[in-house]
Amino acid sequence: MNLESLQRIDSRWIFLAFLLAVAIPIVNPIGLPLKISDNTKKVYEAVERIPDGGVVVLTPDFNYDNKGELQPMMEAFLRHLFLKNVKVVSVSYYGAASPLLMEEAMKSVGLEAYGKKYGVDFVNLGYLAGDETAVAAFGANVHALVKVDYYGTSISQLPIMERLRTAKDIDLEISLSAGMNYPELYLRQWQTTYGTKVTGGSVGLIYAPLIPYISSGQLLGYLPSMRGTAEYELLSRRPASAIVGMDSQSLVHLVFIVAIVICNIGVLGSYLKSRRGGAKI
Amino acid sequence: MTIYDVLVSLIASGLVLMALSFLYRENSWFTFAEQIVVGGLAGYGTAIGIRQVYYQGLTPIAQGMSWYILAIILGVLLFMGFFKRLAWWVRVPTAVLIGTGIGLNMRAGIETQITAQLIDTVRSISTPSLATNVNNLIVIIGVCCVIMFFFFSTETKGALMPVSRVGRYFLMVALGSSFAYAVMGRTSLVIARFQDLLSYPNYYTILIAALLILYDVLRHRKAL
Repeated sequence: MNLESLQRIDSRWIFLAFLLAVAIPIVNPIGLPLKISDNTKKVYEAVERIPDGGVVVLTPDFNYDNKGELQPMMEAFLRHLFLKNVKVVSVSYYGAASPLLMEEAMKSVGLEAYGKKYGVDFVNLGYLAGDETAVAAFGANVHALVKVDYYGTSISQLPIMERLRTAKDIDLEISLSAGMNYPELYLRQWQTTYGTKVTGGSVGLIYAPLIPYISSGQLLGYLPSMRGTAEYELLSRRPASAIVGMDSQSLVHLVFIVAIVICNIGVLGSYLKSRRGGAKI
Repeated sequence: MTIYDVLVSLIASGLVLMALSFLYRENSWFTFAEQIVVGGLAGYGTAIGIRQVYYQGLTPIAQGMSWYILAIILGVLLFMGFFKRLAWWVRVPTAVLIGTGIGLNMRAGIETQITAQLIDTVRSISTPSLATNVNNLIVIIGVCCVIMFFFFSTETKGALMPVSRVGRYFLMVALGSSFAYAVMGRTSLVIARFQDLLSYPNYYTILIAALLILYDVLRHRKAL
């Protein structure tokens, strides 16, 4: 067999293998085992430790392009938070579409199902432009920066906002981020300045550079993409879409490893051929 | 599920399949989906921008906070870039944006991103747990070697060479880990789309897409 030909496989075959590895476990779940990491346990415990009646700020800093990774995570956090007696304030500094995604999450989770009321237990403040400036201003004086919620209701009419004046009032900040700078931004402007506890989760793309912040204890754990969400769903005993997706995730990774091995055998074939022909690569 | 929900669901899954059709080959369905995304996001972004100006800028002015006019003026000056003769005015709001950004970032940035990280590098290698000791030693060696890799004041030769090389290997491992996380993340996006596509009534659109691709394959075979 000519090993060199392995480098010339039509990429569409790899796409097909990839699609089958994604689709088959969705139609027919395999139920591969999933181990809960210490990191996920840290996040779960951070939520569990919120004091009774505490205030949580949830910042969904992502758009529709990252919905697949972060929407199930947001819903997992909301389900867990609504089981507790805490006040949840949602505000976004990135991703103008995130208030819409929060609306979708609320439809899926359902405030009433948990006996919660909009304006009393939960509020959607929408999107605030200004990045670091807006985060700093929010931390210093929430009421000076925010005048209305996402639906145009004055925040003076929302009882939940009486509890939140500065970042000192935040018992836990949950950052759901699609951009590397956002968790850092909350660490700079809220955690370092006011001592606010920060946790949350991010898309896989930006996760690795955030690990040093978990190691140093600045982030109280941080969930990586679908895997983190699946572990969180398992830990909080509320299985949803992320756990179902993990079978596909494992199979796809297997396809990738096989593809990498095959391609490298192809490269090795070229190398051996050139050695036999006396030419150097 | 209402008829409205079914319709919205079918349109969404149809657009997803149009975007995915690029994997087969470039086609007008893909271009159509691409244009819808660009147009939709531009429109939504503009609407959100106008809303921000109204609630964060104009409403406070109407409530008597007249100093907000300064912010509006600075915002308007950003648009002067569209006029050649007035373009230099853009420097004023840009200077304010950069100055404020750097000031805010530096206020806590040094403590968050440098001091706290340096403190975390000072680790004990004499804990009761051997695994922890090994991990801590790896962190200490890794940080020192990678910093050495980015030390440009002297030529990397002699005793510095192996240290710098070890630093490069640590960087490669870090980049590999980043890449693997990126792959996992991107795969998650595809899985989430397929969870939607394989649910009712969206799977009907897959059938239509498959028939269209089959028709195209057969048409091309005939042409050959």
